Amino acid sequence: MGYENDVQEKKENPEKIDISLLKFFWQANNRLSGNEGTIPRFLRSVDVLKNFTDDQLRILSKYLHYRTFTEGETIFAQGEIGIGFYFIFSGSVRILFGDESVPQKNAEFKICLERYNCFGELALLQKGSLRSATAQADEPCELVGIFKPDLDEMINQHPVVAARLLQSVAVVVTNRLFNTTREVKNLKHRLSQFEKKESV
Amino acid sequence: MSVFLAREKGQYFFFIFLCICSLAVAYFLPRLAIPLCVAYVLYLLILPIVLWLERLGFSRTQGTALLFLSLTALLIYPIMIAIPFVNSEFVVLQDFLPRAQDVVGAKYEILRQAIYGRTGFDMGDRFIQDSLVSLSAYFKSVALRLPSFLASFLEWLFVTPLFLFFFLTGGRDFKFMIMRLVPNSIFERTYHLFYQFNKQLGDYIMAKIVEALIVGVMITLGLWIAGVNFAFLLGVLAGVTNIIPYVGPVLGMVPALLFVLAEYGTGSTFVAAVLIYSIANAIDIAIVFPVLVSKIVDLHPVVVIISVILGSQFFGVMGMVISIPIAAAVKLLFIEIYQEFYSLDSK
Repeated sequence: MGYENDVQEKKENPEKIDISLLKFFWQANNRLSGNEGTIPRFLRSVDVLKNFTDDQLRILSKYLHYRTFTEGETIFAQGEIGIGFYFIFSGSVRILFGDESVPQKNAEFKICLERYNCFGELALLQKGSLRSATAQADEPCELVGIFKPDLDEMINQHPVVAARLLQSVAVVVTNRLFNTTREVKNLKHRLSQFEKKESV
Repeated sequence: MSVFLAREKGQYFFFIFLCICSLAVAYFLPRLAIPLCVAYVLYLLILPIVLWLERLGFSRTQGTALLFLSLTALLIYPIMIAIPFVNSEFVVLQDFLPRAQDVVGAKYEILRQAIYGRTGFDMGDRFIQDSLVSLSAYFKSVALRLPSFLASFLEWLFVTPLFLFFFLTGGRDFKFMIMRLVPNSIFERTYHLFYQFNKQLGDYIMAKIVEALIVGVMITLGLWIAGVNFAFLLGVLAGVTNIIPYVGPVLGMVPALLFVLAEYGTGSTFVAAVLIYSIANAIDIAIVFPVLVSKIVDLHPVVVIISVILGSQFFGVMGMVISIPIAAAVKLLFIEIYQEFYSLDSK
């Protein structure tokens, strides 16, 4: 209660504590809460970008676009031409896969992505890439995305950062290819077993 | 659902409102729009050099400042050289004009005699006097408008580099800020179009400048070898008018041929001049244009002619120059809309 009394009596702080100086050092330290909301700090926690140095993340963040989406809003739709690769800054995103012929109808819920996850990586690599799934905001979310034109500029301006980004994208794509191959192998095995049973 | 629909509607409304406002500024405030457009075109041309300087380790502002200083230093010398040269050609032209008037008068007299001899119809001096009166009235109006034109020219001369400097130093942040206003559902497509359009515009302007230089140099050299006066001025005229598609070469050629005709008559020099212009334009049409320009802006000739006519209708000579990039942009937009609504895999 002593502090409230001091405030009510309009007593000033003791001279020994220099609040503004403390505040300066607190905010200048980028490992503390002052920089928590910034994009480079967020990118530091993204698993895919763990091979980046702090300076490379700072450069990458200059090329990122910040977008906000409300609940249920479509980020991109299956079959559309895509040019962007997104990181989830806050909120969550659901990825829906539909029938190739009528992508919008009968879309089936598949994956839910959270903060620090990324999606849409194929658009950076393919020319005239068509989105293979629909991405929708599951709740109000903030995304940061890099787009093909910016990647082209980055390749010219900061080739090392661009190479690191493409390496990260390649890792994501390779993991996905590995999983898909394993899935196909399983399916083939089950199919052959099923055929054997049928023939017997 | 309705929350994001209302939000998106608001975003669309604001975005379209901004587009209409910028178009209105471009149309009703040419004093602002022309230096902005010129600065933007120069920005597209100069940007690769600034990016190269940035790669060498300069910051964006340092690179831009360095480039501005070097451009100023580089431009001062040729201007100092060119001014006395152009001045001397203009002095010669000043002597030449009264002579040309005499030649026109003499030819007119011969024509009048010939028509009178063949048909018995006397044309009198009315035609030539009428045309002289209208010509002097035209020159008078040009002379009256000259101070205001010079004032706005000087204004552009100071304002354009200023805009250019800010485009070069803060263009990226400004682009990101504008792109933030684009509604989510059309963001990727708009960004892609914006990028394609910028690339096409930059490439097109570069190609046109190279084309104008090639044509200008060919004609200057040809006329200089043929011993025609004002070879340099006529070459510059041919190069500059060449920027206007299809109509440009004719605009550059007709006054030049009239000069040669008045100065040297219908002798070998005139034939040489006709040949030089024909060969230069043939090389331009057959080699330079297909290799340089049409690969960048793939428009049908009819579309090119229609857009040049429309451009001249609304914005005069400037409209003729900018009509092709605008037509290319409209084509990009049209293809995008077509793919959205008419292609087989559209929703």
